[in-house]
Amino acid sequence: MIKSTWPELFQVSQNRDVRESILLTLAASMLGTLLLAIPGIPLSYMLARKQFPFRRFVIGLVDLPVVIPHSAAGIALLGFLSKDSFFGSGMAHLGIEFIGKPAGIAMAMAFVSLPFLLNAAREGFASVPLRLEQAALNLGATPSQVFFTISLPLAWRSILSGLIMMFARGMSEFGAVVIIAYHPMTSSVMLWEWFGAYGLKYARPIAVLVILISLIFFILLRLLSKNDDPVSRKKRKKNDA
Amino acid sequence: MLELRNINYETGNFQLHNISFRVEDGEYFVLLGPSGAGKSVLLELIAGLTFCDSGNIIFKGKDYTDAPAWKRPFGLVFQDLSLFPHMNVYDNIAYSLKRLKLDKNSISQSVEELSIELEIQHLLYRKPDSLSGGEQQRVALARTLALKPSVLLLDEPLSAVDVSLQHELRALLRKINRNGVSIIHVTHSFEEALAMAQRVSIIEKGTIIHTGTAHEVFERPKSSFIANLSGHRNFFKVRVSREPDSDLLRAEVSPGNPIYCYGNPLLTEGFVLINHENIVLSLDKPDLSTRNNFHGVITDLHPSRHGFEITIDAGILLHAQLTAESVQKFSLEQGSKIWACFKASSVTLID
Repeated sequence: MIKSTWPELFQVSQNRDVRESILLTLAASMLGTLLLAIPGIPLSYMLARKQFPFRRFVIGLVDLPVVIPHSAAGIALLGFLSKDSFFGSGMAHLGIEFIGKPAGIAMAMAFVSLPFLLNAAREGFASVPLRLEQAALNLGATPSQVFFTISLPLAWRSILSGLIMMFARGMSEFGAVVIIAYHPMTSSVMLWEWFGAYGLKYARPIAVLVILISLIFFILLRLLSKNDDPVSRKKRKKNDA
Repeated sequence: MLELRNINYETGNFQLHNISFRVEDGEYFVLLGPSGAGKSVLLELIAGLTFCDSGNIIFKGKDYTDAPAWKRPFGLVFQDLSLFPHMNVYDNIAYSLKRLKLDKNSISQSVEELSIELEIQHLLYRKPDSLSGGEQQRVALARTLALKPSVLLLDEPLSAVDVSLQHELRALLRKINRNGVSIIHVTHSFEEALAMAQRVSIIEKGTIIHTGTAHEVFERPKSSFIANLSGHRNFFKVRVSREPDSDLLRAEVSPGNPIYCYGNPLLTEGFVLINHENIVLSLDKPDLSTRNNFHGVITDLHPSRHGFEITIDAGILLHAQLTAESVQKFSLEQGSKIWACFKASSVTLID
């Protein structure tokens, strides 16, 4: 990696295709994370709090995208998103297409990285004392008000951590993405293509660039969530004192 | 009036069996029982945090048995208080008011009034984890009172505070009750029940065994738990039979160990209570008119507030009190043989 020189990195960063692929990667992962967070967070709450038939099976199912080959996940997703499917055709009627489109890339990234959010959020909700939710119910809050005023704020640190991990894992996805959309190219697909077509010398600078940008984003997001970090809060309290 | 009618509830090995009682408007009602008796579960049933298998919870003629928790007019203060850790004291108190969608000024005014009443106005912008136990208790009370509950349910409200604060909080709870709020106060403490209750119910192993005024319940206990709590050490469950040609009753604690007493001749089972002050002790067989004369061995002898408390094994375990002078005079020690005598008329037979 360190064989890449600054001029090489600069030159790669000036390449329009590279810039677009990196932007697409960031945007698609962010979009997928936010979109699937909407049903994902309530689902995590249900898994943490409610008893229902096959609950353990569903919890196991949540981890499935992590353990199966991601190319297989991509093929499964292809069946769900293609225009031949009920969902895909329905969405096509609404003007939303997935195959070979950024929306499909976002879905592929989110699908394989969703377990990171679901597991972190489920653990976060499970760690909220049930008594606090009961106290809120007794104070006249409906279950949905309890969720938004008690459970969600108290589990927020775990949820945020899960969102960051989901976003980061989504950015690095290759297997599922390449099956849903070879074009437009995400950075991982572009790396693979450059490596195949031009060899290590040409692929290396773009790899370094992608790693650097991912690193910067990851650190930035972690810094943004610093306020919720108990260790840094303790440190701040100490400094205040 | 709040009325519980034949409440039955089962979970795991625990059972509430046929619980019935009434709490009048403005009454201070105490539910007293040992740990694990079902007191807290009963409060959760009233609050709607769990639901009974059968029976009814009626308040002012309306059936709340199946009503969800947020629609019940009962405010519960949990034993662990359960203050919301991510909100300051102000937001904790205002929580229920915000659910009612009151305007900011009304909320602020209500919080201020409550904070003055409970003397916590200086704590409003602090987080719960920075408060002492007594302060947290007051905040929890204020938070529950904000909703103006018709019945206040208190789960062991004084257990987490020290003795001096207990007195303060008792005064506060009486004040809240005087303002017209009915209170159901759950405790395992005899002193607390005696100090607070207008009426008290005794709950043991998921069943209510006695309800009445504190005087009625503690003077004529119906369980060894209550007898022990109220200082009655000589309390026995007995089988009762009549002595032929006599008004005397023969109350057998165990076969061959009868205690003679007077009482309802129709009783076949019950409890006897012997006040330790009525037990006369003697080293030699006494020449007394007492009908109950037990010869036994001292199994325990230890100093107490009024001298010495001794335990005599005479087939049944009898507890008596002696002055320090008497213990010294008779050279009493563990293993000494002694007579314990008391009149049949000094024995209380309870059905």
